Amino acid sequence: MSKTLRIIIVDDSKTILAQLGALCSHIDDVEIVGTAVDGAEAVKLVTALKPHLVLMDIVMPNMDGLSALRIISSAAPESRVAMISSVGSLNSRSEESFRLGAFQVIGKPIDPEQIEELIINELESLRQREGV
Amino acid sequence: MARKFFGQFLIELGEVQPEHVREAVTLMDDTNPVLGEFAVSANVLSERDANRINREQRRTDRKFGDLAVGMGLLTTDQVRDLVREQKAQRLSIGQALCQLGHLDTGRLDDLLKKFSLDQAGQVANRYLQLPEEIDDSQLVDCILDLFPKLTQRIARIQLFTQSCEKWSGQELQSQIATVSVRGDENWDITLSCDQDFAAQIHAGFMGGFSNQKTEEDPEEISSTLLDDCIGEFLNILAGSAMDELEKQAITVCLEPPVFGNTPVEGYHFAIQASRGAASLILSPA
Repeated sequence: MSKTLRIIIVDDSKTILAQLGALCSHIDDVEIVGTAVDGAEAVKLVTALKPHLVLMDIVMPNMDGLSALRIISSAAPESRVAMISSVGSLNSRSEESFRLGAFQVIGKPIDPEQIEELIINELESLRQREGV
Repeated sequence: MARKFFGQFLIELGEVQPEHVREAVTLMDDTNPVLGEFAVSANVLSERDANRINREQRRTDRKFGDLAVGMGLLTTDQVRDLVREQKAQRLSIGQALCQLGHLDTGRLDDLLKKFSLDQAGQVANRYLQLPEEIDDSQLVDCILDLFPKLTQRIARIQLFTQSCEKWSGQELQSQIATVSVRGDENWDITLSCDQDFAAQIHAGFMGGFSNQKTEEDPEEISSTLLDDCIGEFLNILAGSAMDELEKQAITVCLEPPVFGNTPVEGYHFAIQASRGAASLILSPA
């Protein structure tokens, strides 16, 4: 029996939403349960749907990714969050991401293999946790 | 006379039309293998190793050959031989235009000679003389340095900056996006480009996935999506510049892109690109 990894993607760019959606669509046992275009929408969606994985941009309008991460980390601690950063994975904002609870920071432009590896690892961890 | 590509030179002379150059560039893209593909077809590199190098190349500005040597996958001699052979077999823009029937083969040599004379002494963008008011800006320096590197890395567009002039309402292209950088330096960075340039960036973003086309007809992608795409490109450009600035203890933050705004002041950088048309406007805020 397989277990499905439920993902929410958060980015104000339609290009990135399409890019990540295309990648997830050809990995087995992965379902995108929602997308959001800013931090405020992300907080609502993640706390309501409690996905296994959130892929979230840092620079966004209304509420940025770091502010949303701070709320999600306490409101939905079971959801694991990977931040997607246009400012590089070694920037101080990336350090802040880890401090606020992200388990990984991915730099842009997105490396498809890095995302694929991350999702497959998360799927594997989920199966181990659930004893599948 | 400014520095330019041969295709642009031919358009300015009235020898060919812009759509002919676009057609020729597409033929070149279809015909000329990149070095990795060339190495695989020559059986000196496995497809898996070529993909490894391609993956690494998305994170760095180093050339394929340099990375292959650094990763111990090819020797310097092998890279030199491959590059030599690749160049020998490469279809040039002039040859592509002739092959498509847009340029008379008998005139190509003469036009190439004229082009060499026209371009003699032109300087690369890194030596572009900047106005005094912006010459000491670290951000401007980073943006101008990173812009051609990122277009090459993301979308395989080669470009250089032809000129820098004070903004005076120069004509802009159809797609316009702006990001704002605030902090120790304050600038609005606007990229204006045509659909062809934006579609190539879009293809670059989407091309990393096996189930996506790497080339798309700009007419098939909505203008909103093309704007979004160059906004995302600007995010990455400004974000990469922020990384460099942070190493120099210059702190700035980045605001999300806005679309369609015409700058009111600043500096207009005319860009010569191997695909489409673009310009960059840097406005102090």
